[in-house]
Amino acid sequence: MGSLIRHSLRMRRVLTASVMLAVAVSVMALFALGLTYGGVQQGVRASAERGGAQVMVVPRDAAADVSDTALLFTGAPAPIYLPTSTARDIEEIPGVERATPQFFSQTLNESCCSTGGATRLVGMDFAKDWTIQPFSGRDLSAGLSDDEVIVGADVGGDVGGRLSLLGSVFTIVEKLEPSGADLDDCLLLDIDVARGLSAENLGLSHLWEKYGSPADLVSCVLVDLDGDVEASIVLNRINALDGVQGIQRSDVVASSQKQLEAVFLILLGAGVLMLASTLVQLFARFYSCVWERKSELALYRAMGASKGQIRSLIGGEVSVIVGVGLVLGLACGAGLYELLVGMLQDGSAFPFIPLDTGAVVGLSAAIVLAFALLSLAAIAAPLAQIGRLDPSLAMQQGDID
Amino acid sequence: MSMLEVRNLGKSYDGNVVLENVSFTAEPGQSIAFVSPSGSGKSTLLSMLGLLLSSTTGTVVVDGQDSDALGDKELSRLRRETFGFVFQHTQLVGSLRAIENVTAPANFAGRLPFDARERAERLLGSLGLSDRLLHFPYQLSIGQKRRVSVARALLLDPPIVIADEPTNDLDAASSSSVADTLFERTRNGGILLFATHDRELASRATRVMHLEGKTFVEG
Repeated sequence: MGSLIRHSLRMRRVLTASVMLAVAVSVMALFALGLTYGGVQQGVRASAERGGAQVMVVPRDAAADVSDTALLFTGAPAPIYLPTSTARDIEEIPGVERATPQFFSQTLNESCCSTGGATRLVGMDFAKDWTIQPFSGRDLSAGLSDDEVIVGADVGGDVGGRLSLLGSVFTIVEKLEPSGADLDDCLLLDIDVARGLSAENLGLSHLWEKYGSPADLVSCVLVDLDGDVEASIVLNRINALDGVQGIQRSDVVASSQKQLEAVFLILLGAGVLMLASTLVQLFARFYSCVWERKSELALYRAMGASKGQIRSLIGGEVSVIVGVGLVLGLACGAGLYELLVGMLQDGSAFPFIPLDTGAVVGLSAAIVLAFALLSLAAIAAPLAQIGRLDPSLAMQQGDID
Repeated sequence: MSMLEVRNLGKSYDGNVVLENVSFTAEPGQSIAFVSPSGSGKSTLLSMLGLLLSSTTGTVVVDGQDSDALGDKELSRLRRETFGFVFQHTQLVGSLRAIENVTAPANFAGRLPFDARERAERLLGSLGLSDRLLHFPYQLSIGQKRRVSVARALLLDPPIVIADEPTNDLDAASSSSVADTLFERTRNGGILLFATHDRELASRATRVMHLEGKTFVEG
């Protein structure tokens, strides 16, 4: 039986290769789109569940540098500061329920630190912060000691490990869960420790000449508003302060969600259309592959092949074609997924949390199952029709020599 | 009990009767020639005898087994173990080489007590095709194709060989070679059932059945 399958595939090599390719391309697209869709969906869900702050107040000059997701959890990655007195003023504004300052120190890389890539050093007032806690399993309100650091999900190193930052050694006490936002690339220190590191950095001295001592500066203030106060009124009060601008999360999130919805729609629409088109084409291809060979199959029955053996023969051929297509498709789909995620993350600030291994395996299994069922359905119908024909009649209707 | 017993066999297509009331038995060592003009139902009869075409009336009993009472598995086994077919239109698979066409039945026969490829080579050699083993059907003449189909029919050493116009399109030498190979089977206890309008070939059979009306009668 195996040799017949090999012969058949070999002699129909163009057809075999084209159907394999069709399966591979479809699987690749489905797998990549499925993983991407799942990652974006998880990111959005996480953003919704871990809302961060409602308003971020930044120096007016820095407002343009704030990305959508940075707004929720961390400050603008720009060395532009406002005085701590302004931060205190913000806390006093009627309608502000709570406020927490952050101090962006600098972007770090391998030349100064052992973080393994570009990361942002941010100082936090953990006693006041509520935005980071949802990403941690430990109580952060007690704050950190001077040699402790919390790292984002994408930063190298594990809890208990050591990091060398600007000449000082820190112990990682917590690794945050993925946020799909800029937070994943941040190193969080106590705000005063971050200020101290910045003050000692000679490369930043020009900043302190301009803004004053870092001990008296913050780079942003995250704010939550009283529920019964009109947000725009509070925002106007904030913006009335000298040199600051408040950015409301709702605007950003709404805009971000509109983009996400559009992307979802495109992904979903493309995926569904591709799936439908592929399934119809593959069904037709497999169906005709079997039907066009009815005289050959009838001849095998005349030689003594049972209907079960004919099913095994055709099933074997289809399994090889679909199996190779699936393996190729899944491998290429994983590559395409990496490419898509890179593009999404580079080009926008979509919160993105990759699916875990279980979900990836589940998606792969679902695709394999879908194509297996499709193949079975496509060959079952013509095989049943051929099975109802007498071998002698079926042989008269075919193309064997 | 006869090896092959045919009882009142008949076939109609859309109400048009092609054959009716064909009855005979065949014993080991016999050869039976079915002689009639073209298009009169010889191929239909042979297909029914070989269990490749269901009859409208009557039945075929093979070695005591009524074919009408058999399911697909038993029918397939009976075809595989009892019959070898030489079709009128050779019916070779275009994607298989000559030797692979001959060994094709072995793919469905499970474990065999002999090497199928070795036997196929021997059969093809005896039919003068030793130098055509690896040719595809499109590379063979009609006579060579017919000889390949004869070799295929004999591969599993079936007790009954059914041949539909086995010497059609063959030159005298090839015709003789094919006929000798087929009749050789009957000397070893096999049964040969064949259709022909070649009177010389028919005369070599132990029995001849002619068409009379819509039935075949002996004599």
